[in-house]
Amino acid sequence: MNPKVLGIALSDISTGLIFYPDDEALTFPTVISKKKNEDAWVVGEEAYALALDGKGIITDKLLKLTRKNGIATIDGTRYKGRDILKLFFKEIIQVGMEKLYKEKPEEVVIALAGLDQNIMRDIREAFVGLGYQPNHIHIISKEESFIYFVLSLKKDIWNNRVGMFDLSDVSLTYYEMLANRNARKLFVSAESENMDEAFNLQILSNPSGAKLADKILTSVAEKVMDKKQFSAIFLTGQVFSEHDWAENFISFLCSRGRVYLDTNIFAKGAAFKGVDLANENSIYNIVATCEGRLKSDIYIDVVSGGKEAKIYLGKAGDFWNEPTTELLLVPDNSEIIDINVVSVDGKDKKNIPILLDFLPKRPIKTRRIFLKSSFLNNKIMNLEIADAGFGDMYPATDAKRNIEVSIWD
Amino acid sequence: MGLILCENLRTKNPFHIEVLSLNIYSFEELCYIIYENPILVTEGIVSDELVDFIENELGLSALAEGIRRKKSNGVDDTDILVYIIDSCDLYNNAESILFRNAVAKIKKMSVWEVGKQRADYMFYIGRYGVAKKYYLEILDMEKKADNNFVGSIYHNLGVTYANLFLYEEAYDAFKKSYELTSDEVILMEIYFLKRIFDSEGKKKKSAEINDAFKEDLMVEAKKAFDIAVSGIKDGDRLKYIDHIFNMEDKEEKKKMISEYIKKLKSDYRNMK
Repeated sequence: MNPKVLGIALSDISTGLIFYPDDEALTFPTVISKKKNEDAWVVGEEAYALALDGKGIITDKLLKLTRKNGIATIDGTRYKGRDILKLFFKEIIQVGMEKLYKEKPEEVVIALAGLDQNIMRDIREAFVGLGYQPNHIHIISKEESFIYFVLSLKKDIWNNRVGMFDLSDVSLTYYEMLANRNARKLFVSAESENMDEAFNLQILSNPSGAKLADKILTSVAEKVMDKKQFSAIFLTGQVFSEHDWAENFISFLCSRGRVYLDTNIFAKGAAFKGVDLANENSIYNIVATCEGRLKSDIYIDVVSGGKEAKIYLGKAGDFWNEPTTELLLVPDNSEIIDINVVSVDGKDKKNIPILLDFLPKRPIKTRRIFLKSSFLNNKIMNLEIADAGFGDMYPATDAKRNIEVSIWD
Repeated sequence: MGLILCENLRTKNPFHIEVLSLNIYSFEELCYIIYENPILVTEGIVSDELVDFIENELGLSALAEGIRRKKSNGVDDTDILVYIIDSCDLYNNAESILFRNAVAKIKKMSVWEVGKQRADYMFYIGRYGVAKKYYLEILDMEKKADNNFVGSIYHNLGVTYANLFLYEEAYDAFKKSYELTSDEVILMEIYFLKRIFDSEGKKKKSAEINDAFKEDLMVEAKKAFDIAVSGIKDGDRLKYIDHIFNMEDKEEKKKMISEYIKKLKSDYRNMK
């Protein structure tokens, strides 16, 4: 039985919605208007229309407003960015459910670029406030939704490198994905690059502007794709729905691989991710390394149950915002803790020694420490090491150290 | 050995080791105490309470079951302690062998040697009352060792009495020890005893002590005592007390004095 999943692609420009198992998508400009003197809100094109009629007060750039803990004063009331974002989610889901006659989804997956702890917390809280269970709210990067979108297609599409251009009014982003299978799992990596060559889409309204845009895109494609071959290249963004203007660009892409167009890749990818999460056993069974996910294994060597063992503080493909690891350890006669970092392909290795010189002096077997690890992002790990004491013999002191460890320089 | 992973738990009901006046909350603490104090085996540490603690509080059912099985098969308590140490990650193989050797040494000892080590251990941890009881038990044993051994028991008993501020009893024990061993060091200790408890020579044993000393030994003993006193004056303990009394912050001073007195009282109560 198909799970009911809501996939959302969120950006400051537009927001796409997919109510899986249907693949019909809704796209809204990410704006909201409050009807003057009424406690009612409208979103997307309707919000623009209301504002143009002078009957509503429009708020845009909702993600940016939330990220900077901004406040918008609307109709004399001060609203926090995250509260407006919550109202926006409420309205778009309501519109979506009305238009597509859908029930409340079991899983919600939101894809966005630029994941950080604060925005993830705010989005999560917004959905919790709308009545969704925290363990059914998932926030992923656009890179990850790209991976899930591509992997949902036939294998010949992703048996080699896969590229993608995402063009919107304010940004041009190039994505690249590569899948490698080893004996156990499918390792999939995705990276993205925001290109400086982004342009205002209004230039497409005249032939010379369109020609210039085609030239810019072709030049960017030549640069980022170099001499690489691709099994597929995707174009996404509403602007590509009419692509006559990009003749040279598309011609270049066709010389490198098959070219596909889909304007809702991120929302679909988010929905496929949700389907995977809703299944008891993963459909895709992959280790994904991309924004939001660790790109390395991070572990310490310990002695446990009479044997040497590795304790993973994080594994390649793990979401870095997942719960922290908490351990109780005796360093014995060692004055350091060695943090080992190994890249997903095993080729790059790094050892990070953490000094324990701040611990109180006492018999080595009684130096018991509490180690708590968490990740601030996929590059920085936070370690909290504190004296845990040794029962009544050596009560815990306040010796403690917080260390930010750079996983890769 | 590298990092040792411990179980992250806090037991609700700790295991109490009476002779040490100590609560044990984790498997690592239990192993550490056993490893550092193998003589505890003579204090009946291997008990049903210990097995229940291991099973119910530490959640180590397999270990608890193993101990029960060994006990029912008549395995010696010392070997059960070795079994516990071997089950713990806190000690590697080399350290475990050292513990086995220490335990084997205890097993090879005669009954009065074990008794002396047990009593010495109680003295070492400041349980002077228990130490006194154990020394007297050895002296009551029918099968006696040689004079030197019995003399050493009387000597340690004398030191124990001195720590319990029992001057007369300490003197009698030292005297018996000297009679058995003829060790002049004991005479020196008797001199120390007199100087500490009877500096003005008013007590009835004083004349007896003076008679026992040859003049050159008396000079040597006096010199040794003065050096010892000066060592105490320069010691960390007096420096710490000076530091407390020189503190300017009255509240902090009061707190430190109170804590220090509390510790002295606790040590005194533990002497039992």
